Amino acid sequence: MRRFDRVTISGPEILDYPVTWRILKNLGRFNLLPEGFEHPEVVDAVTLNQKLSFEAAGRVAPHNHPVALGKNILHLTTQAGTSMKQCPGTNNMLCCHYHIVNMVSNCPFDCTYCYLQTYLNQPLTTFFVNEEDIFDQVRALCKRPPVQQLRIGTGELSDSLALDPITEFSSRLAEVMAEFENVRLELKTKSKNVEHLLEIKRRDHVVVGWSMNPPEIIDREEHGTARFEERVRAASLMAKEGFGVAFHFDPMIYTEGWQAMYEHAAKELLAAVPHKQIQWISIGGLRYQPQLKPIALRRRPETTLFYDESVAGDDGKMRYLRSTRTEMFQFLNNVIKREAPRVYTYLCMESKPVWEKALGRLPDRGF
Amino acid sequence: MQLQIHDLSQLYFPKQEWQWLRPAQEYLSEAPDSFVWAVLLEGKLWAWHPRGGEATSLSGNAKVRTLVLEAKGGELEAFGLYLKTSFGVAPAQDVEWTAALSVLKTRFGFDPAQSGLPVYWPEALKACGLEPHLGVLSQRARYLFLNAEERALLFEKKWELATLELFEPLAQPLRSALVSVFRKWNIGAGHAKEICNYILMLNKKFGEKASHTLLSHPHKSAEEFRVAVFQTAQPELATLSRKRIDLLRGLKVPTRTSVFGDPSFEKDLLKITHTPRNVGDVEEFKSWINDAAVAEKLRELLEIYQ
Repeated sequence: MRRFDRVTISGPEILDYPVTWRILKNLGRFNLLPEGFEHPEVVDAVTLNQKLSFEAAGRVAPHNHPVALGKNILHLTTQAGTSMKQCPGTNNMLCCHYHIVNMVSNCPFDCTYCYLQTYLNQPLTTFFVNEEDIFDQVRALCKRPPVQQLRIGTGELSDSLALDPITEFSSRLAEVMAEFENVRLELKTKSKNVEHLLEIKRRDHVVVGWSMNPPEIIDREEHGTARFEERVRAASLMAKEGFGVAFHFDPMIYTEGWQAMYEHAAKELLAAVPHKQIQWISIGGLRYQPQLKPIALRRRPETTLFYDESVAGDDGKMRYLRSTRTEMFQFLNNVIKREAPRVYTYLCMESKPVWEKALGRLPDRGF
Repeated sequence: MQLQIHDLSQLYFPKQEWQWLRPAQEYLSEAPDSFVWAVLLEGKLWAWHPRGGEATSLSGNAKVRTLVLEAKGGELEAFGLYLKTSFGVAPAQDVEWTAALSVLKTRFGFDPAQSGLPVYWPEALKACGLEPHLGVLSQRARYLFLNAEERALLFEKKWELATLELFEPLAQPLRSALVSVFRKWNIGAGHAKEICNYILMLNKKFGEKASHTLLSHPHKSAEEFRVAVFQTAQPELATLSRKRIDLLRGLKVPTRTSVFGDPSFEKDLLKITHTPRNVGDVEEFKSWINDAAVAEKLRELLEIYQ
């Protein structure tokens, strides 16, 4: 974790929330407070975001984007209205049904392909401190006849665990959900921050999911994230401690020698983590809104992500050609099935024909 | 503000200094309401036509009604007055804001991120229907990498800035070659964007020399040029696209008047083939074909590479 340049609040009332003090305390504990910090500044986030956006245009790469500058400012505020929603999935693609709690927006990690660069128009790293309101919404959603499993995740607008040692949100959310049956909390991450989760008492409903890529791709494109071995180590620890674990080979990147790289990564991973604790492994290919390409090339001119043949899908996102995607998914799925035949695999944001061709079936269960 | 009469030759039009994109306007001496704006700077009258460009006169050295504005803050304030008055008459294109930001940076060393908007800029923004804050200018500031030639192209074609967003990673000679090609073939904004993307891919695959060769090749038409760039950059996609056209033709659907308003089915076929973005288009064909099997085949073909 990196030290923040600024810690701001939307108004003095934010200091009345216990979460604010918990975060400030943890920031101090991990030595992440800005140099010479005395107290959080009250700022108008809208004006600050506008200033940041303008300032970014004149910065050198990779800081030349508002979202990049926003990573250095932690803004604490409250979220009015609903903080839970159903995962939007993507148009005309098959979806895995998922509910999302957005407590944090923006992420300290800086992956080249990150969609937040085209998605966030409020770039500050914002954390909502009205935790209890959000927990009430979670309770309301979980309080239903437990016929179908309910999956809730927190990793849409940020990494679930990157800031979690500071916010302690995940373990509290896990405790809230522990009162209910047939619910799953999935924490998606590229970090190694898991030790603090060991405080969670009931663990069978918590799945920690790692976004995985071969080490070469992590080093090249997933800036600031935990290394491959660190993710594997964290996953083994969680599995050993009775948590469910999941993996997302997503986005798979088409690059020279991709077969060997992905095969090696999958084998290493499946050799280290007990299969019975693996809840699922998802596979997905690089996809992006066309607007991402100029932004990513501007920030990371050295990237090689955007030069392979691609086509706009029915949802407007660019993807590798169907033949390439199918080949990649089929290959990795076969490797996984060879090593761990019982582990459930699925595709993320893919069309029916690709499912059928790559996995030989359509989605058949509610995770 | 003072009304003065001056010879046109006495006025100084700061085209270069203020990076004007607007064309010169004729000063009509006989029109009773003709005038130019001016500001006195270091003993010289810096002037501009109310529409924002230089004022010229067919009769040579005309007598010009000059409204002299006061700019106590020097040239920076005068520049703000220029924006406020000219953008108030004819709202600015986005690229003109980029040019104005470039003047601010290169000529005045003024950083709005530190000092806020300069004087008269909020009024100029409002005159263009924009909110007077920095956030509005951030997207325009992102395109400061565009050079004068590229800005001129965007202005003339009335293209949005993002049309040339992929110019940034390209080397200057290649950018110039692209600008020439866009002008030569009168390429539209959508196609220009596509071509930039393909050239970028080509550069990575085969190096800049290949891109230069392709751009300087004597193609017979804009279409031939576009297809050549497409086929070289995305050979597999191009082959699949060709295959799909043939398969679609082989479907033998009845002739008709197009649902898209084109006179022939053949044209429609090409339209959906070349713009394979929306499989939803197939629904229109479905209702027209009224044959479930053919419609399904059509859908499969549309999805061939998606």
